[in-house]
Amino acid sequence: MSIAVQSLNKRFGDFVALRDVSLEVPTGQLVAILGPSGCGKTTLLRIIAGLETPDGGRVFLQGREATDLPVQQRQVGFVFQHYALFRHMTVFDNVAFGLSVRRRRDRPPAAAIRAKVEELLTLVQLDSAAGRHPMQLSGGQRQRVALARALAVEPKVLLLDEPFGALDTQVRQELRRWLRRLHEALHFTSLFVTHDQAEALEVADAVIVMNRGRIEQRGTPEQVYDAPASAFVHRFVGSSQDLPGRRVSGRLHLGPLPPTASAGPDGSVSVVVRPQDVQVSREGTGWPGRVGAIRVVGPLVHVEIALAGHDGDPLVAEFERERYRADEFLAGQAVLVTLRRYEVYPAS
Amino acid sequence: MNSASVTRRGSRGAAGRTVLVVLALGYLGLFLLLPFGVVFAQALSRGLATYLQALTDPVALAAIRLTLTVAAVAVPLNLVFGVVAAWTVTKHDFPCKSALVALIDLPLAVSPVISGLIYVLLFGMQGWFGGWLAAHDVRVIFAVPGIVLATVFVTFPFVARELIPVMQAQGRDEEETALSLGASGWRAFLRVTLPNIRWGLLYGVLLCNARAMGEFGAVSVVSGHIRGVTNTMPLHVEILYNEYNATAAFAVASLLALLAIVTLAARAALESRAPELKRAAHATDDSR
Repeated sequence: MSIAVQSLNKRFGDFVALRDVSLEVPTGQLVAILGPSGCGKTTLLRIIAGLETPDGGRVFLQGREATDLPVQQRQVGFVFQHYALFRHMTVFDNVAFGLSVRRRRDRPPAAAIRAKVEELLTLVQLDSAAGRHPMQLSGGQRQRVALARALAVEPKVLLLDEPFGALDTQVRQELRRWLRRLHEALHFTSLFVTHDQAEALEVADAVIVMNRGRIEQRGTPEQVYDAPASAFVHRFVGSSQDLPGRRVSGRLHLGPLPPTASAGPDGSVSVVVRPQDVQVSREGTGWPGRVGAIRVVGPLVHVEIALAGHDGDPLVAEFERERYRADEFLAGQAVLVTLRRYEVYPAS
Repeated sequence: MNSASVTRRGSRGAAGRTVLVVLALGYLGLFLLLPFGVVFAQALSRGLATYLQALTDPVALAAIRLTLTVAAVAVPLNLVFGVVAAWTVTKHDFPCKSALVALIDLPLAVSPVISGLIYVLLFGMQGWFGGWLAAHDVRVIFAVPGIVLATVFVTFPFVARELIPVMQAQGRDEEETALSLGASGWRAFLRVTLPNIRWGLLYGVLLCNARAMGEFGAVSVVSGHIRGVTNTMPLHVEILYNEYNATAAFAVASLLALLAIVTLAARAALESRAPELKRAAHATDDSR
């Protein structure tokens, strides 16, 4: 187990950043902490790095307790959202920093440092930029320098705080695939923080979803997406929409749909459904509604449907464009809606 | 809109701009440049020989030496203090932080005369430590130590004030990265923080030095005006002037005026080298 934390707690004044957080990251895995801003994910990462002290709880790095270890001795690589490159140093000096600040007896000879830096710059495809200053690089290049700099000291674990958050969408996608490939090649243990669910699902071996200082769920990207443990996870990972329902003696009543079996206590419930699980037909049975706006979003088509007797936002049904061509709908058309799959949670 | 009206409007705008520029320059000329010129005109009004004589007079030389000595002590002290204060305030969180920032500004907020009086009350014959100091035969007030203390107090905020906005804008990420890469706090400061603040620091030192050499009020209170012993250049200028020796007074004053010119030129040179300093300098001005 490369990273383990137990019952971490942290407050900033009245704000509770972490409540009793425990997690483990197995050696060689790339794990994402996913959550909205203010959920405590960056605080958690900074506590693991030693940049912040927890109010309670313990941190273990490679099986050894590191709670009271200063940041210098933790041997973690930390990469910031805004790169934090040393602005007055060249790319080469940035990457060499961690090796060249070592005490003389631990410091590799200058030639070895040079070889190591050149190897890393080749790895991040920036060997031609060694003599440049950070100001002369693009955002994506800067973040690759930051990564090379962190890897230069051969850290036990790599911690990345929103590493792609400040980049354009396209660069972001390129860079996260590149990170994935790099991880497959080097197998470093890494924990990265993001608020972008697509990033977490695409890059990580495992995803930890956080909300308001707590861990809501931990699982593989498929588990988190297919079997969300809470309404929050369901809403935060992938797009979803809520319908109000009632559970009465083990049966779910949802609009005019026939009641179905549903385990759990009686009372008001939230039925959460993803747009691709909304089925629309012109005949048969279902919840009657009327087609509203129709939007083509790249390869997908979003059809809004105002459900009869439902005051909330119209329900969105998502179709693949190819399939949609077969049975096109028209605005204003009367349709019947059924739900292919959904999750039921206590009403919030 | 036709082209004629555009031209007319354009020319009216240009006329308004000219009036404003002339007004601003005229104001500057009348209240800043003219007096400045008068200093040099007066100093040289009886020829170069008299000018040089006034400067090489033993009493004048003693005043120059004392001013340089005071600056040589006060500026390095406040350089260290300013860096430590700015570092503490911007890279760490602790209770009463805003109180400390306000305290740094205190010398700018009180009249320099009060600053001088504080030291008289503390170290003078009737002051808190006066008896003890007299018993141990240590002279602070009406002696060089008092002048140094008063100058240190008055020039206290300049370096810190210059650095705080620069360091605030730079954040802590670079230092934290350096620490995570294994650098000690001191190494991170030397290799990361110091190079990032060097231009702001240099400018703060220049301002601090200009004030240290030019300070009048606080120094006047603690000096005792002993000719050739406790007179700094500004005090010497006043004495000469009160003795109706205007030429000599302005000759010494011209040295202080030269210092101001050098400081301003250095500022311009620094700003052209370090654009981030310009922003920071403005931020400081706003906060004053």
